[in-house]
Amino acid sequence: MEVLTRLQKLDRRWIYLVLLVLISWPLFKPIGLPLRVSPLVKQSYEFVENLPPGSIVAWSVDSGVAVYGEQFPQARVTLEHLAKKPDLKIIVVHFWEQGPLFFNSLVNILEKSGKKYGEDWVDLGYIPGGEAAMAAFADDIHKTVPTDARGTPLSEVPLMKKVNTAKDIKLWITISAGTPGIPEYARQIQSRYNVPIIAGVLSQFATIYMPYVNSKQLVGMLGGLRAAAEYEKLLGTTGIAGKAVDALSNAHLVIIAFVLLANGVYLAQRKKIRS
Amino acid sequence: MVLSKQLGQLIAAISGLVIGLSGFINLPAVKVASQELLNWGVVLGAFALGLGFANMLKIHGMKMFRGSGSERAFSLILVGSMLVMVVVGLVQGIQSANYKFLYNSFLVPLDSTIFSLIAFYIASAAYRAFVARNIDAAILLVTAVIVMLGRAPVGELIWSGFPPVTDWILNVPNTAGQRGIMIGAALGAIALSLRILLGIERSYLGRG
Repeated sequence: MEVLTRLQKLDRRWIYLVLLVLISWPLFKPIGLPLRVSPLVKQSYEFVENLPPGSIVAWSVDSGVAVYGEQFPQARVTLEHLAKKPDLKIIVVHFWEQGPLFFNSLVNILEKSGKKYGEDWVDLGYIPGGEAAMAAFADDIHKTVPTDARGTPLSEVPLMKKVNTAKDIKLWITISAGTPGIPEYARQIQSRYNVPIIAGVLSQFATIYMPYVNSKQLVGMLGGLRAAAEYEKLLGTTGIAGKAVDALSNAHLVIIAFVLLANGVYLAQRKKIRS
Repeated sequence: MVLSKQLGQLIAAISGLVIGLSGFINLPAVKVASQELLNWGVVLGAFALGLGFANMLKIHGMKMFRGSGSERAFSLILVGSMLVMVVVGLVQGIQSANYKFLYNSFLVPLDSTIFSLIAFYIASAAYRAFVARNIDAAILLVTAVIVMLGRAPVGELIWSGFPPVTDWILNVPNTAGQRGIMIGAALGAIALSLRILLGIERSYLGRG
């Protein structure tokens, strides 16, 4: 009985300690658990792979540093994929103010890819205004963004001579963490201009955005760190996501173990009271 | 004051009407007006960022001089950090080595750490609250365990059926529930938009 009472009133610091140890350990000594690629991630990967040569892809980070751990790997792996396809043109644009800061850490992926700035890719920076900014950008890119992030007028950027509205964009990849986010993209970009969208989202939001996948408003979705690891596997690269997914497994196991323990204690207490 | 409120309502109604109509009417004049209003929205968005910065300076500036011990210290740290980032960003640019150092060495680890604490709170809360006291709680518990195991690589090692069952849960009952919530939210948004356009809802104009 005393054991049951002690377990019921378990100091939460023991839970924190167990979780800390079991999450940290695989980061130093990876376990290397096998990773199955889910259909949704494969769908996203294949959509990019099958884009016709010369397609213009918009890539945006609409996220913040708070979710850096989960979304930075998604941003990195999607940008790496686009960079590996020499025939794709990339427009980098953000609707969150921290987007350019995310991109600062990843810009070398494009600079070292062999793609030429201005012809194969362009950075349009952050556009304030939320959904209104998205709508304005989709309707008339040149009027909304007169210069790129480096101060060059858009009329002098060779790539932007072929792009006037969202209709000219063949795929939009967004790494999204909130508002403006997927619903706003669905309203302003997808439904008005039929632009296919692949979204990298937090794992807790993947369940919320499943209806957009089932209605084909999203042609692919990366839900959380695990999806980034799966994408890395498809791309044949090793990144932080692949190493962290073992820690993710451990974290899930710890929580399940504690939940089962709590239920075991509860049932034992109830049995004791009834008898 | 009354006139400014009425003017605010009029601006909201006209702007909303023009932008709304541009989705249904293919007149060049309406399209041009709508595009212009949306671009003004972009400018206002930028202005709002600056206004937010000024407001933070005002509130925490006052706390620095009039607040109590720890309030003063925290406000001083906040204002100091804000000013350092702004000055470095404006003078040297956000692509400069110093700005990247401040971002990567301070902002990223600190912000991610605070967010990561949620994992520990969830674990602790799950231990205390995730108990099958009745049938509904039991269903929730079993579903949560299945989805957690389906989303972690270790779950496939335990039983290969966890991922397909998880996919079914996400694609069928979850999607059905989320669709209901989305439709409800969308209807609420339509009702609120109509109230704003018709001047019935005036909370966005502020008090007074």
